Amino acid sequence: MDGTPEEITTLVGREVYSNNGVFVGEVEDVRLDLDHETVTGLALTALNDELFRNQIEPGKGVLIPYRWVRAVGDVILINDVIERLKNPEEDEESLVV
Amino acid sequence: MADILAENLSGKAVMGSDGTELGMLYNITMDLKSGELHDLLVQPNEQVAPSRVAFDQDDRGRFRIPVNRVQAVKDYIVVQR
Repeated sequence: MDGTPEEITTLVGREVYSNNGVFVGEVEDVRLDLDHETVTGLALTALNDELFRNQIEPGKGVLIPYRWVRAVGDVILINDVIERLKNPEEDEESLVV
Repeated sequence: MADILAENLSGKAVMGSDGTELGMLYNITMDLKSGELHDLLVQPNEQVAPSRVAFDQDDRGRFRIPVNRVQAVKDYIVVQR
């Protein structure tokens, strides 16, 4: 992430973890907004079933906002708010930020 | 232009706003940190003479077309030239 332009397909197939090291899923596709010339999200598949069991049917994917991305290296690290999906009722207050 | 998944753009034909077919979309470059998009990388068609196209080329001969040149995306990607 040193600001050198990279091809967007380098993101595809990379594993995604939360900042705390929890596996989230794998990048399947990249969502673009050509008007604003930005990447708006990552489409993830092969999801961590434990994390998404309560929200997402098995075999389906999720879109996460690109602003959650913290680091791109051998793997991609994203904001750990993603872990709140696991126990949404416990953390309802903290989701209202 | 609504949000679009990159996979749906891959291999799409790229046309100049004057109607010339330039080639096929090969990839798009971005800044991984900010998420900002930079250039379309377009594999030129064989009949295109690169010397008559004003866009830069990378070391493999692909045109670098700044994303802000994109005017429309449907069956073709139309770029201002």
